[in-house]
Amino acid sequence: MIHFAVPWLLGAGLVGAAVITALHFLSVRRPPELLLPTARFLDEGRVRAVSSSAKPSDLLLLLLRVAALLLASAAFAVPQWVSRSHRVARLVVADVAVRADSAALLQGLAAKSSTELLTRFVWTDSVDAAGAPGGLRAELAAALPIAVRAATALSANVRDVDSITLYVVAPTRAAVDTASWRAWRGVWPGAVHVVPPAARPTRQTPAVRFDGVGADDVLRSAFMTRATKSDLPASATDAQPATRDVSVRRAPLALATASSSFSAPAPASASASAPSSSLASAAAAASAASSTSARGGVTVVWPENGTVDGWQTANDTVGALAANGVAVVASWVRASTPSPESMRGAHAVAWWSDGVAAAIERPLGRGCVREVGIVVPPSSDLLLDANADGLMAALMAPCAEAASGERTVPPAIVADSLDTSKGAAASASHFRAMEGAGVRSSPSWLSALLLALALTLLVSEWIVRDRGDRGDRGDRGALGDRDSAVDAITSRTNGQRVEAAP
Amino acid sequence: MTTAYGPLLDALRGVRWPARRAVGAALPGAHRSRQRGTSGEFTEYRLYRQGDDPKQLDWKLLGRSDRAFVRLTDDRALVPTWLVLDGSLSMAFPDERSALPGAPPNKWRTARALAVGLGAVANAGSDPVGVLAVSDEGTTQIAARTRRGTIAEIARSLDALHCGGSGWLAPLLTMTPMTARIVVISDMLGDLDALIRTAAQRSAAGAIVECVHVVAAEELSLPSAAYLARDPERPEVERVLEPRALAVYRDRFATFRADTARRWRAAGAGYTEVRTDALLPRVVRQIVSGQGRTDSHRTESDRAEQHRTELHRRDGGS
Repeated sequence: MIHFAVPWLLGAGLVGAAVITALHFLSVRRPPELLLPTARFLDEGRVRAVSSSAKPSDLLLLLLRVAALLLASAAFAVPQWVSRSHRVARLVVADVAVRADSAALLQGLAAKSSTELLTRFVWTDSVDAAGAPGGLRAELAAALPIAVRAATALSANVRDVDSITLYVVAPTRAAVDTASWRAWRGVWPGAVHVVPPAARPTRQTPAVRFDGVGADDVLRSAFMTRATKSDLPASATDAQPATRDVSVRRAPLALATASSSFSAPAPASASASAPSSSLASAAAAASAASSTSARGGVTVVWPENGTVDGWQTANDTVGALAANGVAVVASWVRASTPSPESMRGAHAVAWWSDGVAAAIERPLGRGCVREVGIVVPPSSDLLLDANADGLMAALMAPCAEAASGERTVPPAIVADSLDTSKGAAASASHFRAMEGAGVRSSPSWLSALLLALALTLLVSEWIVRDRGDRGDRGDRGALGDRDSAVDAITSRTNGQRVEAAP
Repeated sequence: MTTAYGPLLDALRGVRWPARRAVGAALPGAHRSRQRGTSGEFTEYRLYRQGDDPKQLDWKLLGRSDRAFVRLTDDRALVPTWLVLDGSLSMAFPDERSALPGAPPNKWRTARALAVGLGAVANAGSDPVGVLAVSDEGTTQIAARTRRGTIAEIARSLDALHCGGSGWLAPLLTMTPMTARIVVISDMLGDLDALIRTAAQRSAAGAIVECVHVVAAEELSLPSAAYLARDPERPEVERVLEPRALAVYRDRFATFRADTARRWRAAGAGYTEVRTDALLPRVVRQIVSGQGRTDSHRTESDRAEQHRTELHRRDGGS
């Protein structure tokens, strides 16, 4: 199958052939010649008679000219013989952060399509994506110019490749600007397969450990209905992935704040007022919390009276509580609010309806500590309601995910709605054409052969035209012609002439 | 002689071609001479002068009146007739090879027939007839003779010629005798100025010059289709022949013919325009009868000029 690297040249040749054909139907030519001794009495001037007919004039010349033009345009359009078995390369643009998962990524892509000849990975980072500092994480559309650059190099280096399929692996936290994607989408002349962020390999339900929470505490019911209980000792769970371990405690972490790596300074009053008898248990609890956080887990400190250490005392009620986009409407009692010092290095994960943080998250080791200033009456079932799922999910979520959540790629980008190639892979010749000098016909002698044929036809056309002109001159070289004689005879009225000539 | 001229010669049997004026000294012939001779036809008496031949004395009159008179008689002389033919390339129009049966002859065939007819009429009056022609073979000259068979020889010679060249006729006129009758048969598309100038000189010297302007019928009624007209004698002349140009062409061609006729007559020559589809015996009779001087084929301008001349003469006479 013939494929053209510069198809618009072939199109131009077709247009030229159409014009030539039209000219053969509408030709401007010199009228037939008439030898007239009294021609000197006619006006001077150039003559061009336009004649049109249903049949093209000089059919042989027309065929030669059209064939020569089409062959020449085909030669300049860089024809490339492509076998019916397409040789497709797979180009994968992914963030360098998932480089370690390339095997799994490749396995996943192979499941999508197994016809690709080869796979070429392009790992992007902030340095590589010069146009978008931060790489794909900063802007997903940066993958497109990177892909074009890589495809150009791939097409130039691997001549056997006919087309290129592009896969863009969206990072987990990629910033997706639809307008930017729309602006860059046109640079890739084929379909773009956007691979959404893979689901995090976490357990479906977190393991919750309670510390200082009574058996009839409403917190235990609230967390247990949304998690599985883990009674394993800390040493046994160290070997397991601990990113979803959640430790829930009622007791304040007065000593823990002092001995931990909290960035917020611990209130001095809290340390001074702590009774000495509880120092051991508090230290143990703080140690457990630190251990959980050190393993990447979450420690939830949820004082029963809603007064969190380091927060400002408050005494009012609020009508609603929101987290993860879900509101819990109730008559909430607000006992404390985060002070500016306590918010240093932390961020809110739940908010009151007036915008004040109701729960904050503070990093601690590989994990984090979440302080909750929400007063829940002991007999209340507010936390068991489905409306509280947002709050509970925010509190049980892995660190740093509660506030931001999973960024998703818009469905329009995943579906590649801006694709004009109807899902076809990008032609490698397109990228070879971008290289200019790198575009060659395949096989290499094909263009030369077509040009030689075109020149041969042009020479034939010249010979045929020259013979035609000679024939016309020969026919009209005599004195007068039959047409003039016929016209003259038909206009003659005197028929009584005496025959004086043989 | 080919039998093609038979009908023409039969139609011209008995036609004579008298000279329009007294001719100069020549061998005795049928035309009135400016010389006084001793023929039997008496003209007038004249007193005897010393040196006159005594044989011319009218002795009877001398005896009755005792006065010596000499009998004078008009002399009769021959007029050598020279037919000057234009065999240039333009005379071959239209091409006979592409002509359909029944089509009028081309200009060259018409000129040849006219030459044979006029020569036969002249030869019938015992005048010597000669031919000067230019063609693709150059200049052809047939000496003026009176003997029988001269017309046949002329016909054969002319039939053997083919049109060619540009047809410069003026030099041919200088080859004719001063007192000859010169008949120029041409389409006047060659050296017209030089030809008329030479003819005027000959006419002033005593020659009788007749111009026969051959015009093809096809030249007067051009085809209505579009053509690129090319002058066969001057290929560089290319003109557009299209229906819109026909009116201008007809006007210019008519003006040219009228001007040509006027110039020939002003040079003291007779002028007759002959169309190729005309009846040649009638044309020959018109020429020999001197109607070329007051030709019925004259153009409107000629008639207007003649009318003005007559009015002027009438006014002067009154």
